[in-house]
Amino acid sequence: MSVKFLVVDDSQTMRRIVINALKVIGFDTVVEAGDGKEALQKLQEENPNFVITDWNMPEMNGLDLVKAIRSTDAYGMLPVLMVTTRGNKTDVIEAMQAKANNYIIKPFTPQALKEKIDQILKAA
Amino acid sequence: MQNVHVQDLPENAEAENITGMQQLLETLRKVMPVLDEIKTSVEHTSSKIPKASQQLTNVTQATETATIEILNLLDELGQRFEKVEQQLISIKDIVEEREKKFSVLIEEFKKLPAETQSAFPDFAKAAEELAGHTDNSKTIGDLCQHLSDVREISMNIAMALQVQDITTQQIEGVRHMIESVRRQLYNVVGKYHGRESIDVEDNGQKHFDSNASFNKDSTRQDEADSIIAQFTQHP
Repeated sequence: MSVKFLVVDDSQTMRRIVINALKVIGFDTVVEAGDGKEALQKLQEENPNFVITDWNMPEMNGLDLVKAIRSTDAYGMLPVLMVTTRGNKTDVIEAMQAKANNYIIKPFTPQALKEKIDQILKAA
Repeated sequence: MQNVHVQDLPENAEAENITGMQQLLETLRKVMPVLDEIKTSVEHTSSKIPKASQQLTNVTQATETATIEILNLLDELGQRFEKVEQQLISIKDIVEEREKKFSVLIEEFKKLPAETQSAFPDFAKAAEELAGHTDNSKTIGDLCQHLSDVREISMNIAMALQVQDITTQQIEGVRHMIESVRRQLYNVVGKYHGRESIDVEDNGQKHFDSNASFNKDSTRQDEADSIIAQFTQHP
C-alpha cells in the first residue's frame, strides 16, 4: 500500500529524523510542515493519507491539529500518530481523547515507528 | 476600649516619642542608600537578562545548524555506503560465476590423461594454487555485511540526534524561566518608580516541553501503550 505521510514538527532536525526513519522502514513519500497551521494547509494541497505530528509547536500545536483534523468531514478519519517528548499519563490521555490514533514518546527508534504505523494501518 | 488622655501619659512620653522618631529617621537614612543600591543592582541585573536569553536562543540555533550538518553528512555517508555495497554485490556475482566456471575447468583438466596434463605445467600449477582461493565471493559477502552494519550504526547516530530537539526544549524552558524573573524584577523596580506592573507569566502559547528528557528506558512508552490499549479497546 502506498502511503503519503505528512510530518509536522517545528524542529527541522526532528522532521529530518522522522523522514529518515520512514525511509529506513520503507516509506519514501513524505511532505512536511513546521506547525499545525501549515499542516492544515498541506492537507489540502498535498492530500497525504497519514499524519505524524509533534505536540509542542508555535502557531497551532499538535493537539489542536488533531482536534482540527477530527472536526472536518474531509479528513476526519485520517490516521494521526503523535510523536512527542510529552510522556505524562495525562498527556497521553488528552491526546487519545482528542482521537489521535497512537502516541510515541521521543526518543524513538525506526522499529518503534514501524510498529505504530503498522498497528494504525492494520486497524484502518 | 478605654480612652487614653494626654494628662494620663507619663511626664517623659513626649521626649520618648521624639527620640523614637529620631531613631526611625536615622534608620531610614541608613536604609535608603542600601535600597537605592538594591534598586540599581536589580536594574543592572534585569538589563542583562535579555542578552542571556538571546544567548540561549543563539545556542539553540547553533546546535540545530550543527545537527542538520551532521544529518547531511550521515545521509551522504549512507548513500556512499549503499553505492559501495551495490558495487560489491555486482562484483560478488561476477566472482561467483567465474569461480564456478574455473572449478568446472579444473575438474575437466583433471580428467585429462596425465601426459596431456604434463604438457601444460603452468596451467596445472596455477590450478593448484587458485584452488585454495575459491572463497572470494564469501569474503565479498562478509564485506557487504560489514558495510550494512556500518550503515545501521550511522542510522543509530542520526536517531541519537533527537537529543538536539530534546535539549532545545529544555533550554527553551530555562529561557522562559529567566524571562519570568526579568518580568518580576521589572515589576519590583517599577513599584519604586510608580510604574504599572506587567504579567509575570508570558501568556503566549508555550511551544516547548520543559520536562523533556532523553530517556531510552521504555517504561514511559510502556505506560503510554497501556493507556492507548484502553482507548483502542474501549474507544
